[in-house]
Amino acid sequence: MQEPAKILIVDDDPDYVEITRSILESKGYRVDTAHSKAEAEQKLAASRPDLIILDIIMDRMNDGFKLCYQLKHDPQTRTIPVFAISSVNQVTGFTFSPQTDGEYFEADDFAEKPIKADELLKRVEVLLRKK
Amino acid sequence: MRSKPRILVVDDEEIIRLGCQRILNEEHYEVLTAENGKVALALVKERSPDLMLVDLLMPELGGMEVLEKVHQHDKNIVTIVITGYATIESAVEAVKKGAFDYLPKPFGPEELRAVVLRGLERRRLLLETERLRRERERNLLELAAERSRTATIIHSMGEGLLVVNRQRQVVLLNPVAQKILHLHEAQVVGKPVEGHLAEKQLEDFIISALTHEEPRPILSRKEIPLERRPQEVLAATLSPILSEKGEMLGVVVVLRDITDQKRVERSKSDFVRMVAHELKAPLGAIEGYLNLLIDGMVKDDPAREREIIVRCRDRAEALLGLIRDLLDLSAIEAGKVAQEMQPIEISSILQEVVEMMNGEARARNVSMELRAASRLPKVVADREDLMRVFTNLVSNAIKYNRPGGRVSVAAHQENSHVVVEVTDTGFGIPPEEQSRIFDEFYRVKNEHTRNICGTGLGLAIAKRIVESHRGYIEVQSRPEEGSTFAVHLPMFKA
Repeated sequence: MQEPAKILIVDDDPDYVEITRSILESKGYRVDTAHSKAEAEQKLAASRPDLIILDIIMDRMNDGFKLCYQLKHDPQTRTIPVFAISSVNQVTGFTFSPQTDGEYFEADDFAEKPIKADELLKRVEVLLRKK
Repeated sequence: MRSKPRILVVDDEEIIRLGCQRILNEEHYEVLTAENGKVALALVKERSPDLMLVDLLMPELGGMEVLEKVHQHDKNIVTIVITGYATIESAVEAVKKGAFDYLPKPFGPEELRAVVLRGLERRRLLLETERLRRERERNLLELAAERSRTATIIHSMGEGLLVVNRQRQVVLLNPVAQKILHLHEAQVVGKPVEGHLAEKQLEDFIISALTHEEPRPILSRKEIPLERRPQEVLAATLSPILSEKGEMLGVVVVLRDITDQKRVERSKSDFVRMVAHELKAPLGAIEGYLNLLIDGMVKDDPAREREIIVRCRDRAEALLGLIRDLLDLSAIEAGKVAQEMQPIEISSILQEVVEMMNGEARARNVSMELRAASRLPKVVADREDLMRVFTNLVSNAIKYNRPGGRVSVAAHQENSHVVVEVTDTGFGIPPEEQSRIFDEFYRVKNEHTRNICGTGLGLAIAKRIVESHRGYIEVQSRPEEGSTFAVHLPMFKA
């Protein structure tokens, strides 16, 4: 039997991590969590997830952008789908989107916080299938 | 000229004087007589006649001399020479000396009446000319004063003023406009507007109004970011100058530097965005947790369910705290907090705060101590406000501490201030973030602070309260060693 997909949630809001974890675990995904860019880097060095759910504003405003850039420019990790879920637009007033900003932010999908459970699961499934 | 013209008859022959007087009286003129030049001049000075009949040959002062002197006194007096020795030469000389007419003796009443009538008409015209000349001079003076007043007003305006004629030339640029545009009058006045204001958008705005197909007396306003200094923004209000027939004569542009206004607008909208985000985060978390329960995602785990409910309550409490802080902040900003200022012994407040926070400190395994100098001067303050400031500082010192850490509250006098220092042995604040921790919603984010609840408004409120007491607050901190927040309040002088 195929092992369930492993998803790494990278977000500094503990409640958001908990909620997302519960939603994903309810569908049988294996979930690991990191609360900062540094912690995510440690987890990635130890094992490779099948998908990363990534917040953008963490300890620094651009931690998510930086981490995504690293992942997409490292041959070891570039194929891991990155699903960015963030409130960066609300906080900064930018109108960020992968369509307009994909050049330097190569996330595979982007959603505004908060995202409904069924929407999250649907998009996670699509990303995992694409992989 | 008066309604009854005044005529002076100057002749040494009594018969002539009386004869003239009788004839002229019949015409309802006022007639004065003088038997010689001296008396005549005195009468001219004293009574200012309109017309003078003067004999050329008189003892003491001759007619020619009288003519000369009398015109020096009143250049508009009409003089008519009467003489029995009329020659062409004497007539010419008399005219040269300002005589209006020449009447050879003997003359009849009709001749006299006719020449006097002409003379008085001449007098009327001279006086009218004089009146018009004076009026013109007065008008010119008024015009000059008016011009200078207008120039003063334009120069004193707080706004920049720029006038461009229909040939697109700059005709006026007041000092404020010169300052705003960084131009000197001599560089632009008389020059075409294109290329001379060094601000393309402003030039285009003016040209478009001047070349509008159907000029209408409508104001238009535009915000123009300066090309040369992109941080600065101008508001240009443009109104066309139209002739009575509605033709475009030019435009008047009023310039206002709205850089500061724009900055305030921007920071207000940043603040609103931050507020919206800060409110959305806990509500989003509560909604997410509730959905977990509703969707039955944790239904077989009662302990986890309870955990989630407790977490929802905590986030709701934090949300309420945030809303309270926001309302306080806005009340302090608007100066609507009713402060009850009174002389206060600050150590009693510190004592109360330390006692109140003891439970929380124990719960986090942090020890507390209070050291206040004896006989500390009082400060003038609102008790509730100071309680709030020190509760916030002590609460932060406990929250951002480590288990087994220490919080010390100390108060002493320093020159004319009472200084309260709240020191902790916590994680400290990175140097690059120290200047921002008093900003609204600014929270140091790192692995130490991740699980500490806070609104990011406590220090912003504390700073405003301290400043409303004419004091100031400062921080010293070293990462991994701890921080000291010092509140300086002016001491009470009885």
